[in-house]
Amino acid sequence: MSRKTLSRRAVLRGVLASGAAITVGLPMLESMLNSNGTALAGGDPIPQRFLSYFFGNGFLLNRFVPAATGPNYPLSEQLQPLAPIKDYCSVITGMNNLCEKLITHHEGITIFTGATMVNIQGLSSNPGGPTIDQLVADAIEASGVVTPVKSIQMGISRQLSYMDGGTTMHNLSHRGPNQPLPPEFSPNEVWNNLFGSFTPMNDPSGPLRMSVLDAVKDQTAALKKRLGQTDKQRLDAHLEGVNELEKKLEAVPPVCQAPGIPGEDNPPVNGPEPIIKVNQLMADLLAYAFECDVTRVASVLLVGGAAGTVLYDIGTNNEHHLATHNGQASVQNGIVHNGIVYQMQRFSDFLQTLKNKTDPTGGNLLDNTICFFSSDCAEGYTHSVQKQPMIVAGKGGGYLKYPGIHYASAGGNPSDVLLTVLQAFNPAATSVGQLVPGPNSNKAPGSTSPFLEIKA
Amino acid sequence: MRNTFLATAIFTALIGSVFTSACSGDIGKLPFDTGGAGGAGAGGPGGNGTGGDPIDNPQFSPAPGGIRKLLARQYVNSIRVILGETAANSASPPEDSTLNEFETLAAAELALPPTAVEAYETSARDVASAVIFDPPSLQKIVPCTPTGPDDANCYKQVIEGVGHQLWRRPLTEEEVTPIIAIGVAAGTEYGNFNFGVEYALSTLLQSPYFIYTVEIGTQDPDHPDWFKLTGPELATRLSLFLNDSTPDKDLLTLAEGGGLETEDQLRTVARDLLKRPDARAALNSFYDVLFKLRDLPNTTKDAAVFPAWSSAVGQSSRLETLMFLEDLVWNQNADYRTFYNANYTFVDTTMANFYGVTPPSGSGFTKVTLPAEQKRTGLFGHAGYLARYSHAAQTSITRRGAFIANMILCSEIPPPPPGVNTTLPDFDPSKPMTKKETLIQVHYSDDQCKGCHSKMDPYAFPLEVYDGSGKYRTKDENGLSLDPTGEVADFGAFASVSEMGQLMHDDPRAMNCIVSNLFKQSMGHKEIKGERPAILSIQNAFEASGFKLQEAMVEIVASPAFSYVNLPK
Repeated sequence: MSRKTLSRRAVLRGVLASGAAITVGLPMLESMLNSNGTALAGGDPIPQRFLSYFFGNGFLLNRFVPAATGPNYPLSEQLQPLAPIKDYCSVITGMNNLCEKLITHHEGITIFTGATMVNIQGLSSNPGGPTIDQLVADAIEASGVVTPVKSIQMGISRQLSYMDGGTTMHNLSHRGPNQPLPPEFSPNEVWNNLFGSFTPMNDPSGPLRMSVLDAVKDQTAALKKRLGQTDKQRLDAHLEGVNELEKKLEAVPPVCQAPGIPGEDNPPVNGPEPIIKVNQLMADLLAYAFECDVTRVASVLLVGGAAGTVLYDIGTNNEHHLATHNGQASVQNGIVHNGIVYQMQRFSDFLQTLKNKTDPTGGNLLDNTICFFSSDCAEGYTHSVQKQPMIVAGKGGGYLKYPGIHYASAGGNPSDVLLTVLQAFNPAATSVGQLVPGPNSNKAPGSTSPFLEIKA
Repeated sequence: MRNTFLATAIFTALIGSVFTSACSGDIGKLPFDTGGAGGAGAGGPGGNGTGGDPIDNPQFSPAPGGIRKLLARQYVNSIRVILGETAANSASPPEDSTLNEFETLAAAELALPPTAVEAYETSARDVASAVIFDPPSLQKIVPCTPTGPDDANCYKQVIEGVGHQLWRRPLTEEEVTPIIAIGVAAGTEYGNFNFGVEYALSTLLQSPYFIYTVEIGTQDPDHPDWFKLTGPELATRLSLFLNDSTPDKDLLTLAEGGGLETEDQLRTVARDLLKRPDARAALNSFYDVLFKLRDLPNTTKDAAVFPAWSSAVGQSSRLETLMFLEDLVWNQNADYRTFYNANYTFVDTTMANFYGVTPPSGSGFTKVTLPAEQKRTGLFGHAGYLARYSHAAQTSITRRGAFIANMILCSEIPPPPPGVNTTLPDFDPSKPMTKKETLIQVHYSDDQCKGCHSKMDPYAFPLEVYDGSGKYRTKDENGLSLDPTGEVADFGAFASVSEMGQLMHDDPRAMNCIVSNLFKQSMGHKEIKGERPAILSIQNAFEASGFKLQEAMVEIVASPAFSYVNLPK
């Protein structure tokens, strides 16, 4: 059997049939910029990217919070790993996570959603709304930009909590309470998601696959009519997935140099996980994807809250989470501190990888990225979410202050920071998160007032 | 033995104390989702729903219908049944999530991420391609000789035939027509009928009608709020539950012909399906997920502290528990309570060496009685459970105890209260204390902590004779003697693992709990109030059978809670 090739016109017909204008993964060449380099020649703004980054079990505030505020803040012991990119980092301390229900560890998600969790039952919960990365991804899409991959979710340590139920503790990204976007732990699979699906222009399977997806959409629409609200929403998510696949199929293969397959699956292991290596591979892949404009939004779950992760690289043999609960000796002899510094170093590695990559539109990728970082609590041993630190990194194309600052808040609302980040991608956004207090609460965790101190 | 616990629990629910989240009540939380839909028949005080057919009980009301995603193994098994082994080997559905310990709850409640939709497309294309390049598989689904690559009539026969099995119901003409068009377009494009089959098959496999099982039913004339599942819907529900697979042709034909109408018909079919080898595999998967046995080969242990632990021990300890259950449930079809007080287990060479008994000749597992001084008793002596619910370098009384409270007794333990310093004091050589003594000092000195910890920690006090890898020891890591005594209110006092296991054997909550867990597994929802009479009926039948787990599964299938649904969720 031999397969004929289909005419390019047929491919274009398939693209055009979908209606929308498609922005695809073309390289951003300098020639595409306008004369003063502030926008693309066509008037479109220079692409801005978003990254959320997380590790669980908190910090030791007395070794994390910088000793002074403002632009020339001194790096604390636990911030020391950020030294090479310090100017790109604004550190915000002293804000109180306003989550209305405390389960331990779960409430960290409120920093990323601005909403209290739902479906709470024992050690189970789902987030109360979409996470910031998905709000940003929707904002980018609403601005008319369609990248082949709307957003990508990456995970580093597979040893997530096995005592917690629900979706909160195992997924940093959510589109809604019942729609987690699970992290992908295999660099090979991340490569495949980002670079593996482009079909050559002359491959006839493209339009045929599109016609299959059309039929699937019609079937899904018919099924939806017979269902209730919950299942309708689930099928809407299914349709969203079909739409995203269509965009991938429609996308022209990127002209920029795609990276080779990493050759690392990061499989589940009985023993040390390759945390440093996998974090670096994920950073490399994301840098390529940002450079090629394959995607503009990503999240990274380094180590989960209450996770089973053992940070063997620092010479410990027990879970980092357990160390935060295992007596003052763990704190004093440095196990907890060393674990936090180790994880901060991974965060720094990730940011440095973006900084070390030239953005085709000028500068480096971190110049045109906003990264939002936090944990699931301020300090692990109490699970306190009072004074929970956050870091907003990157220049955001000039949106954020550079050099960054340390701002010590007297109990501000972390969702104000979230709103500031969202407004970088959707200037018309007026709020984020849950604005109406839940039962037995007088203060909702959402925000309508952006935090301006970190804005340029 | 009556279901006195449950009756009490229902009464407690009605007087309201169940709505508090603290561990202040005497019996823990009622194992029903009191907030769920479909609780129309809440009924009067005391609710004696134990007598008679639950369907005639005015308090009975089924749970909402809707759609549930096939689990990954159900997807692959369905393809194996319908398209053959070659096709099944090419299938690569997205991984399942779990929600509150159950894959079936996630499959009924969570939306799919875009990566899953893409995985379904990839899998469908691979399966379809495997079929057309494998003549025997292709022959199975092409009943006609095509006149050419655009033979619409032959495509129609293919789609109607294999579609009927894949979608577990006949396709309407409206549904078939667009798929014929895809077949014709692809066949024409490539100049080959088989490529048309490939794309038509890929469409059927990517369809929500294959990926999700649809449970909507038809309105019941006697109860307008209820909908009786159609024959094929019911056949699918029971095949997925009992065999992790799609109904085969015979069962689908039986169901379409009205052969799944009465409770006795359902019992007969269920018993037949339970005789199939895939029923054992399905139950193994249930335990693999619920008890986290599948994690064991990749459970990290500090090699310096637990030198006996390895990935191989993890895998063999997983199989030990599964072999034990396979023997109890299938080979012996014996009293399920034995799971908690057995004085025997199953070992292969790896586990024999681990437990310090003579290895069996041959490579498989053999039934053995372990040395009496180790006091291993049923599940509570299995290294897999003991190791999974421990830390990497030490035991965890709280995790082992929480597992028993939550998964064996179905009493939900709320999270720690906010703002509590959860740090345990360091080991002080001048005042040496065992972990049990430390926990009692910390958890019991504070009423906030004691309320819940006294309902989970003590179960694991006697289990301290097993280290964090499940190995027997007489002294703890600091050389201190271990005190195996414990007491839990409403459960009893015990002075050893075997006494604790015996109390578990005798506790009706443990038997109600396994019914509850199977119920969730079978239908993908947490029990709701309206289902109480049906569940009580299943529990009573389970008891009457002498606690034969197969009978619990049969009675779930025969229950009106299984045959009827409310409006779709």
